[in-house]
Amino acid sequence: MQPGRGFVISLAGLALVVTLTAALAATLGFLRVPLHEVATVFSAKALLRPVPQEIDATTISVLTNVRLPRILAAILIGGSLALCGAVFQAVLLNPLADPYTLGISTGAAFGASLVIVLQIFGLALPTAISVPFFAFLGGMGTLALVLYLAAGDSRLSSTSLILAGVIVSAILSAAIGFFKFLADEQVGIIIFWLMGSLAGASWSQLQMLAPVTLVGALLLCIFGRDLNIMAAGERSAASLGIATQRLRLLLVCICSLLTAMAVSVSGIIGFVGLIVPHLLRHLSGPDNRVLLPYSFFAGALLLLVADTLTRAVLPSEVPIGVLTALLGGPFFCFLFKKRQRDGGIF
Amino acid sequence: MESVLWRLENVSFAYRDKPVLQGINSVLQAGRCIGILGPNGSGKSTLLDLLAGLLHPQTGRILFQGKPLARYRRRDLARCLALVPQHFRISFDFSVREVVEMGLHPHLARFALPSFEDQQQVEKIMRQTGILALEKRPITRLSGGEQQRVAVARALTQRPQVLLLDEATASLDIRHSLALLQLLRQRVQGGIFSVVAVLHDLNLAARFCDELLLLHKGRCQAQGPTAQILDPRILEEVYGVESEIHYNDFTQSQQVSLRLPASPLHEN
Repeated sequence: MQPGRGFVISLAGLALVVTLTAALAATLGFLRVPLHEVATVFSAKALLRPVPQEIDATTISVLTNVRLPRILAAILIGGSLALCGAVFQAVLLNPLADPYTLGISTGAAFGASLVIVLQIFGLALPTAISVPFFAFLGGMGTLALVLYLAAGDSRLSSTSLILAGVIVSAILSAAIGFFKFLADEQVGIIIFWLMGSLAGASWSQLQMLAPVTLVGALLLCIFGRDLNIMAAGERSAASLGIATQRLRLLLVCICSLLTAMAVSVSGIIGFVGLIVPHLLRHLSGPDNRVLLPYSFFAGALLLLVADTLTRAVLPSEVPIGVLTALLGGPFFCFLFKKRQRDGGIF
Repeated sequence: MESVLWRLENVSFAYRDKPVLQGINSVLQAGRCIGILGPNGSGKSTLLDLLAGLLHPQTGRILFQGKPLARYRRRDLARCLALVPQHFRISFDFSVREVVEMGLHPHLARFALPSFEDQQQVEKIMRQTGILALEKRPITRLSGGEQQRVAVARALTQRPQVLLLDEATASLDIRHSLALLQLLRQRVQGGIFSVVAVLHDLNLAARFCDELLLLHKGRCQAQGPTAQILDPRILEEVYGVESEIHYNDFTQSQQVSLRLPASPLHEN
């Protein structure tokens, strides 16, 4: 009921599980590395000490340059998508909202592929900054359009909001399809954004992803209690002293930024933000003060496990976005049907 | 306790281009229960939202305790004004106790948890509003009347100087309506807070309000002590009904009997 000691212990437990899973994930792959070597390499690197001679140079390179950035990206992106899903659901009073169903992910991918096309036509943009920036613009623009389309319905009901998201996504997908046509030889990069994959995660991307995601996630978690009160509707929340419109705008902007950062690294990974908060709400209750931090760690864990599965366990690498959509899509259908039966609230 | 709470000076409000309230001038005093009455669409809820600072008038101004309402910070306002909306619904499965504790929000620092005294106060209020037995139940599983009592308990937890009620008894049965209004009446008489209530039922208003403000087509038709406003001529003008008003020994208040006029309803 109150986020007391039990909450702190379970949160620390979740963080520990994420860390252990990350270490385990680092051992798996084409090159099997024993757990103690992983621990030796990472602790040496973390403490800025030289790695002991007996460990093979290829192993060190694979661990630090390939697997670690990918693992960290999975943790940050999974966490931020799940957290954004939880925040969108609380802000829009809509349990089916998440960055993917609202079309923000597709909008961000549209922005990112626009940069690629512009580059083909000779516009020299610094990729490291312009891709996340355009992804952010694309995500925000899409969200604004989706909210505008659904706004005729004063309570922003699920159906109209999701429908608007799907329609805008469809238009943007067509535009991305046209970009693919234009991109010709560089089409692979755009397809990558549509499918979603963590295979390309690098340290240079993490330099931007990590600080933005961590700061944004902390900011979002600050507003847990305000989000609880927003559940009582605009009028009640305002009478309890919450500047509802300003807060909603702030939170939606932060979430769009986080989603855009995630998309600019990994492409579209759908449904994480839908599934994670929903399952957690059954376990921990709807209190956003605990739900938001739990969502971050649980989302991180989910995407890390899923990515390790596609990378190291499955016989050939399936794009992670395809995997989450194959699992999440049916889950969404189940929720949608259940919601109709239960009369709209759960 | 005869101090002025609100002073409305020539207040007008319109949704887009549809005028709702026009040229309202009024003074609302503390320490009493004030009823806002009027036919459907006369602007009662809008007036309440203006008093609560949730809406701002296009022309004129509203002073609350001598200071323009627009200059208050929302959180400061939430410490002295609590609103019980007409339809209280909440979108996720919060427990009854969690919802009532939301009333503490304007008094708590950002990461503070409710103190022992706060917890005791919450329990006391839940007992008084008859929802203590429901405290662990999810709010979405309660009946409309039970949810409404939770909304009242939440507003009381806010420790307001003024409680604003928007037809708060509409979804309650007779017994719970009377119990609620009596609970509030005792607190008004004890000087704990004042009440401004939008009401539909003239007889409930007659029993519980010290003063009435009658709205008609967006204008303030009459304002004054309850006995003076409950007048057949005024009621006919505003509602288009005939009435007989008499003192009832059983309820110890004035009561109103109403009927449609014999002649065809005149066009409004």
